[in-house]
Amino acid sequence: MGKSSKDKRDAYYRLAKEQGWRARSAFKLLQLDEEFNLFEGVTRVVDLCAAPGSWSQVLSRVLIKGERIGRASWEDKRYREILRSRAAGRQDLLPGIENEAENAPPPTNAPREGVKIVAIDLQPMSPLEGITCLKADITHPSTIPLLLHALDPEYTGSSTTSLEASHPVDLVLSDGAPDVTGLHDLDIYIQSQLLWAALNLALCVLKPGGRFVAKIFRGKDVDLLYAQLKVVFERVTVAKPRSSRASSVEAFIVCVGFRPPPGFKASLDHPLGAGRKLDGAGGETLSSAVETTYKLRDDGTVEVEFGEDGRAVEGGDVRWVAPFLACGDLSAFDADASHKLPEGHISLDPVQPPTAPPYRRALEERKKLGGAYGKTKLGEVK
Amino acid sequence: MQHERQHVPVTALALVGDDWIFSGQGPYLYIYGSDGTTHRKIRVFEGQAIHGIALSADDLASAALIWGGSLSRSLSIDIQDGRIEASLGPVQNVQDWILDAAFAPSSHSLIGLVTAHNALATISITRPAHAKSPTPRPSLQQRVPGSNCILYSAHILWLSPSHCLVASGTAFGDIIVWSAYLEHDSEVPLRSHTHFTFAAHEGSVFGVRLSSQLKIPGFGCERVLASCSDDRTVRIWDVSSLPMESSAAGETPRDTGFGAKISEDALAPRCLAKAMGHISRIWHVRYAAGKHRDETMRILSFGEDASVIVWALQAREQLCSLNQLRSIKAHSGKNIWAVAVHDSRGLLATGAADGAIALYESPGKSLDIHEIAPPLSLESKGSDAYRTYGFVGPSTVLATTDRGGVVQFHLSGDQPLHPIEISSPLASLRGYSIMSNVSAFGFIGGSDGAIHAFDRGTAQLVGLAQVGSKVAGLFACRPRSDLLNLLATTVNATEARILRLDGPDPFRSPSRTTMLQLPESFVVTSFAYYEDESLRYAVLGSRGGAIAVYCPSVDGSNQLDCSITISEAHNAESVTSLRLVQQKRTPGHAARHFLFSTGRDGTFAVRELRHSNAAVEVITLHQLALPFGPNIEGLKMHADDSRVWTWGFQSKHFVVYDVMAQREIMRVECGGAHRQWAFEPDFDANGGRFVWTKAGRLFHAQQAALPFRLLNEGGHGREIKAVAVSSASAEIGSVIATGAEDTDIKLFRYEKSGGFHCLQTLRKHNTGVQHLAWHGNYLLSSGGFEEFFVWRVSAGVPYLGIGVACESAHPRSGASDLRIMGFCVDEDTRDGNRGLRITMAYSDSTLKVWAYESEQRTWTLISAGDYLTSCLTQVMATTDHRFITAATDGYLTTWRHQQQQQQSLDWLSRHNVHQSAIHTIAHLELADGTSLFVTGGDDNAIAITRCTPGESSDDTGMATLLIPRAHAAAVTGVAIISIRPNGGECQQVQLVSAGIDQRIKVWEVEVDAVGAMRVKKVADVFTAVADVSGLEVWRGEEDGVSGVLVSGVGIDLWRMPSASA
Ligand SMILES: C[S@@+](CC[C@H](N)C(=O)[O-])C[C@H]1O[C@@H](n2cnc3c(N)ncnc32)[C@H](O)[C@@H]1O
Repeated sequence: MGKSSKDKRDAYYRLAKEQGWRARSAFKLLQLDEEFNLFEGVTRVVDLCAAPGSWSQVLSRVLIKGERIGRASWEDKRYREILRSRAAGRQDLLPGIENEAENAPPPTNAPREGVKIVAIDLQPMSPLEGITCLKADITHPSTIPLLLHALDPEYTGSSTTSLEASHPVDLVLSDGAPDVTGLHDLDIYIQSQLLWAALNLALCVLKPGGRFVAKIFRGKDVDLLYAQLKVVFERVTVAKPRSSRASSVEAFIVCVGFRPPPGFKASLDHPLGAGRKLDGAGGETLSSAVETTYKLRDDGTVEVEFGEDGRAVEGGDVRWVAPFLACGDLSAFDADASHKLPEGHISLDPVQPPTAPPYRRALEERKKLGGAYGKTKLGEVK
Repeated sequence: MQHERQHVPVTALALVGDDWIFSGQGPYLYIYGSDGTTHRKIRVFEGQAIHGIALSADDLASAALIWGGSLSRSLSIDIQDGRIEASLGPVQNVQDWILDAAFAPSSHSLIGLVTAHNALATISITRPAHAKSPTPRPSLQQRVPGSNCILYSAHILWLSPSHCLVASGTAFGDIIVWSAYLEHDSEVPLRSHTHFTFAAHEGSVFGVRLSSQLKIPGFGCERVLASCSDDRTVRIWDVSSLPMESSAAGETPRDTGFGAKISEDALAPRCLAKAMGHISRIWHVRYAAGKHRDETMRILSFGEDASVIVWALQAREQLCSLNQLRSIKAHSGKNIWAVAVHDSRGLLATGAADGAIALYESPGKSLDIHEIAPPLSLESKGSDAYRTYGFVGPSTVLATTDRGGVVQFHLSGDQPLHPIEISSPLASLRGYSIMSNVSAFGFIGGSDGAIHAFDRGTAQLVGLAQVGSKVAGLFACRPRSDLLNLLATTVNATEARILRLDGPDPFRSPSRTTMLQLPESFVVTSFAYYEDESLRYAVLGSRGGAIAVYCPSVDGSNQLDCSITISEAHNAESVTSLRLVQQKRTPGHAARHFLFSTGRDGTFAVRELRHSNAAVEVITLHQLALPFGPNIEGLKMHADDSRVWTWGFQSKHFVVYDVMAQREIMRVECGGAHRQWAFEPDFDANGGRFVWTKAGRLFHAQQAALPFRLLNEGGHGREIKAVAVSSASAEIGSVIATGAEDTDIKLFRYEKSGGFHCLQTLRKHNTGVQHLAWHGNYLLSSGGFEEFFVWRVSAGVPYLGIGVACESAHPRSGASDLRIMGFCVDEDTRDGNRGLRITMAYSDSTLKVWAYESEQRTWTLISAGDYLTSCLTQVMATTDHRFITAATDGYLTTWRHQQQQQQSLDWLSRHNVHQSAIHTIAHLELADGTSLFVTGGDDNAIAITRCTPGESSDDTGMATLLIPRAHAAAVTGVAIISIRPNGGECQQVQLVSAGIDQRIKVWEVEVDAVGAMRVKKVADVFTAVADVSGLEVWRGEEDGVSGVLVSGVGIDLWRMPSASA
């Protein structure tokens, strides 16, 4: 797909280039923040699986530079225009379509004190001012001391037993995604391992009451993951920002109110995910009502709950479906829609070229051989 | 709910004994006999697909371990007198993803397992002493705890009953080779040692395989390790000696991530060879059984490209090389997920995402290619070369030479092939000759207008006719054994002649010559002839893609005009072959005549010829692109078992393809389409003989057996994005149409005995299919870039059964990249119109109503309107003349439209049901005039919205019951199964839903007199179909079984309980 047709297909791709983001993912974090106020009172953050670095850019602009980035930067202006023109002369339709973004106070910069941001990825990442970037595998045990050291330069790592940060962080983010293979079970497993690895790191560095946000694949057995997260956080929500396509299995698990299980010790030898499970505290929240209940909402819709939380399945694990929340106002650009490009639109180059794939060398080799490598020639066949 | 049938990726395979194939498909283990019949279908897990099968190493294969995810189950197997019994042990949770498992040497009770964190566990199965009960009691032991990063691959090899050697590959290109030593009878291992930790690849390591102990003379290595990766390479490593230096190399802090370098080079084994061949990622490597001349060993690799590559590892002194011998693609779509090798039989089995199992008897053996000696030059000076040739028997080729000589040769065995002279050089054939062949006869035309005939029986060449000027084309057709017609054309002539050869001495004097007047600029490229007592057809194909039909009268004029010409029958490309088929008269039905054709436009077509009052009508019943081409060159039907073979070229290969079985029969690398060649199909041998010229040399290849057999073929091999089932009452019956990510549409028929049978594959979309719908015998499909096609589906096509032709493509604006996300179809009821009304929902928030007129194939825009800024996902028409659309913003919107006048389409009101995209919608009209809309959303919810007709512009007419946590992930399919009264004015509606969480759920909704709704869940089952994209109600023809059909990565059919009383 050409640059320009990608601009039409994906409004966020175009906006990211126009607003200087390294990836369109920046908008996912911004829209999550709009809904959950993720950055409120936050100064110390760990950004896992951070390359090419658009989330780190958001952190840098919001925490270090103190910018406010509001809805106006991802709003499809046409949305309110159409509603307004339909409502012309119809007072009853006007409420609800006033333009909030326009009424928002003008942004003022308010840099925060004592900001510390550490970003980690398998891939090398171009530096960002004020952010410590590490190249490491988050699933590898050697990454924990690496991270602790980056957070607290005094950390020596000599005693392998001390895996807790002396100055814990307020927020752990992870936008990690593997290269999917197409074998769905395996992809879901690898994705869940990235989540476990992120959680394992979070258990070492997050302060009680802290927040954890991670990418999740909403596929088979995702309810097993939800049930585990519910053990260590007060509130667990699965959120889908408007900038994440409806056709993608991706969503974000937003966990607030970290409550480390009493006596829990993060462990290098026995990480979460590889057989180790969280249990105990908080488990009771899963088994609530057992009756079907009907609730009338203000908008007239009736919601039904079956009270079947905490059901155990094959293999003895517990499932729980976290409540879903779509975030971002409906006036935000629709990631699935085709868009007309604004008049005089010039397609920009991406802020950063994509990282080279591991098969780059294979592609080069093939090109050299004129499109076919390893082919036998007729004369050689016996 | 009861599981009826599935067609899902094959994710595990094992070859058991000499006769059995075990395969894991979803949670089921299937046991097939060697003839491909299913002997058992065993449900191994509730909600987990099978990813591996390990067999006990005893000769009888009396035990197996089956695993998937972190779960495993033992299986005891009892084979007796061609029967097989199998019984499962309990489910065991190993607590981490299992990558590989193997039974200890000559044990049927001890199994080692490696998990994705490089942990080793063992399972020992103890059988109760009282052998009455066969239930084994397994016990699980964690032996070596895993503490490393995630692995993508592992192989466990027992070197002795107390020593496991493990190779494992990581996400960022490392390979670790280590040993675990198990103390006899002890529960814990005493020691484990890492032998090697090294950066082996530039991308994730998806496959590793340790060889057995090698004793190959002249090859210094006693054990090798093969690996394959994301970086597209296969690499071979020398692991003959296993150093003991390090015990924990993998666990010390190190540089991780891409591009990491390990300083300790001593820990890397020697790389013997590396090679590239696959076009995408490589999933597995194996060693092939059998040894061959001048090679050390054979390696097999299996890729995302769904092909198998056979490699020869050649070792000459210290130099090793890996050379590609052969590449076989037996599967459609992508991804070979499962592999099994039967060492002693040399049999290979692969299973792929297309749900098929391919069995290769001798995967390493390519077709034998022989060169045919050049013609002997009779004159001493200068050389001679073959000019044109063709088969005059199953293994006899007649050829002319540049110098005008005529020779034949017998293609037999491995003898060096030498030509036998038939005629010394003829002046008329010098420098120019053309040939046509049929059964044992060959006809040769020369530059002076002479036509010679050859009969293999007499091995003689005789002068048949003289047509006056240079013979441009000769086409022989033998409609009956006692009749041969030869069509001859001359350069620039406006006439062609048919020589009728049925007299007592046919090759000396044609019994009759008929002159056909050719249509304007018609260069004949193919010919077919049919005759019975009352009817004769002569059909000609042209270089410009036209087909001309003539009706020679039995005793009338010898001068004929064409009855009808179909221009662009094969677009503007040559019509390469024509066959006429008669369908015999049956009581109540006259005989019917059909024309089969192929062309260089890449298509195969079937048309019906209807003859009435001296006029001929031609109706296209079928015309579809084949999966090779575009140069499709030939066609032959096997009357007895209805096989239809076509052949032609695909890039550098000659390909033979069975249209009925939809599978490739034969493939020869010959250099491409532009050359002299001849092919003689051999149905009995499942192959044939192919002769071709390359760089002035003549070669011959024979195939005497299929290169592979297929079980369960016909699947897409990519995710299905849309599904639609035609009504069982339609003329064509219940046909399942599926459209997939690979842009193909497939039509399936389901039969209880044979399962899903793929009838046709429709290749025309260039982008992923978004939506499919049936309307009578019409199938309509939409996709990206405004692609929209109207397909006419016909029943009763000889051989094919169902024929498909694209009747029209919706005209698109051209520059647009809009997707047509959904559409609905009904009859165009406006005055004086005949055709369809198609309402399309676009990705840019617009809705358009089109009229399609099927006679003239014209499209007219009736009305269009805009929603807001969201992508529309679905549209439905209600009986009270409204449209309901769904969108990615979670709203249902009501649109008003008046049929009678052209106007812009306007929406009336919208109603919020979901938080984010509405993926799926089903609609039902209740007796009281209200409608129910059932929707499934990206927000995991199912909503049931009752809609009261009215003109209000707010959403007061809609009331919703929402099940917020109906599934654990997006709900992508909903359907209404039934509605029935349930006492008083209550009605009970049965719904079914399916989602990305791989669950299918059945719900009962009770709607009372005032519209209040109550809901309960009545069933909840796992489906092996991942990425569910659609769900359809299924009503079987055979036994009236009603059920639900789920599509996504495969298809899954469940039988429904009749609604609970
Ligand atoms: C979707 S991208 C993240 C985008 C990023 N949040 C941004 O805004 O630019 C996913 C990243 O996860 C990284 N990743 C995947 N597996 C990882 C692992 N095991 N350890 C560290 N990073 C990993 C990949 O290298 C990739 O850069």
